[in-house]
Amino acid sequence: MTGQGLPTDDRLVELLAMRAVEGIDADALRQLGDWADCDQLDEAAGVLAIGMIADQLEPMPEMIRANLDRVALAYSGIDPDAPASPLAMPDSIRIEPAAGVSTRSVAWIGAAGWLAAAACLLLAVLAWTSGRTTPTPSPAERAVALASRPGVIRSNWLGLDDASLAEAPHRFDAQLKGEVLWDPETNEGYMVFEGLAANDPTEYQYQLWIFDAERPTGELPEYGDGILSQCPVDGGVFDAAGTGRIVIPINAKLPIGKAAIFAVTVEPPGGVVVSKRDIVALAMVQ
Amino acid sequence: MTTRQPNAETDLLPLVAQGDQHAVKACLDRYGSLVWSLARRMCRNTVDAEDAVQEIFVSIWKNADRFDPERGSEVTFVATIARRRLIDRVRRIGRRPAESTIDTGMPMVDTAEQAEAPALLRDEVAVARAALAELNDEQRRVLQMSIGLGLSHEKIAEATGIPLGTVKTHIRRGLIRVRGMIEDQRAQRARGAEA
Repeated sequence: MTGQGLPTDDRLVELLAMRAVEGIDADALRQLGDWADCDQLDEAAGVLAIGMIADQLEPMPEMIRANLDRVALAYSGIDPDAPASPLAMPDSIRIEPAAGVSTRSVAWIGAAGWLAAAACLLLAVLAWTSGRTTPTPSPAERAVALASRPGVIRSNWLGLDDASLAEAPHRFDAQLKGEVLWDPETNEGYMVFEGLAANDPTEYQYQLWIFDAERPTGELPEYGDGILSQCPVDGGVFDAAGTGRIVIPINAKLPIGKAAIFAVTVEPPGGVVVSKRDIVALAMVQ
Repeated sequence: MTTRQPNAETDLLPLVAQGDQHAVKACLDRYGSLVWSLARRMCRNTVDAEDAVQEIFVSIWKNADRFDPERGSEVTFVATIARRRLIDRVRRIGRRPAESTIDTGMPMVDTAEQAEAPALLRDEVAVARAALAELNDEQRRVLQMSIGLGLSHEKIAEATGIPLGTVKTHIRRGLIRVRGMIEDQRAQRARGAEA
């Protein structure tokens, strides 16, 4: 923690306060210049957070603590599973790197034996597959394969005359047809469209939203703007190259417990975090 | 790596910085519940919270040499790193999107509630409660919505009807006030150590 005071420039103090409670972007960080190292307001926010949470501390679940113990061992340079095989590599050591810091690599310190064995295994697999010419299945082929699995949900995109849409704000294309295929077990899914208008990705893109019947109850905590309302999960941004039959893989950004509604909206290039709900297609799971 | 067993009364991070493997693990015993509770509040689900907690502890261990016991408590250092990592994570992964429905009756931290805090957190809780008690109702509510509930400045303004600029001012002044109280607490400690 730095020992300096606060800047005299109110704008910089405001940026430091903003960083302490909800973070700032790279441009704002650059504006802070040397003051970027000043974490006194971050400390203040930390103390306030402690004060607000002290009476509600939760014990860490045993399984998660056990996984953390393994991370601690790996950090200390001790192989937590020695002499384990590479296939016994723990899933739990999967730390997403923070900006500019590869925490995953830290957690793997001491795992050189695993890495060497894993490399051998990878080479063996590559050698085994090098003579093969099996092409990667297309999304359409994968969708067909998915449809044959037991338990897969299939829901048609609703039509304009569907009574359930009478009150909904929408601009559905009457010609749009197709369905959603969704495997609730694996969270794998595909959207099939016929008649979805081709888009110019520089002007707008389509974005899928998945409404999960188990959110926001379930295990979601009460924190962040999302507590104010039910909110869908981002299912990925995609383009339609033509109005013919297209198959788009679903890319849910979070695990879906119980898919209830699939909605496709029109969004600015790159998609959005908060949709204005300009819906072009909607499928409801029965 | 050395193997000296850390004393429960001593700070752990200087030992971590020296490569003490027991201290690395002892951090989990001492701060696991705090970090987990912060992560549970700010992450979307248990899986995300577990990833976040791993990321936080690795960051704490890596930055252990930055901890200066002369400048502040270890628990504040840990909470500060945890919150920064969590805020980065929320920004990276994205907040859960909100719509316009505002529940102005959302649960708030009751500052009148004076339940005894865990011993480890007692000093920080005392500062936080004293600071919140000094604020007027509006200022306190804004800080609780921002830090306790994680609402953005814009959502707080929308939910309360307080102008956005005033929301920012309340948060800024509240944090500065807490910072001042932390400094006072440090000065008292320093005087106590000298006496």
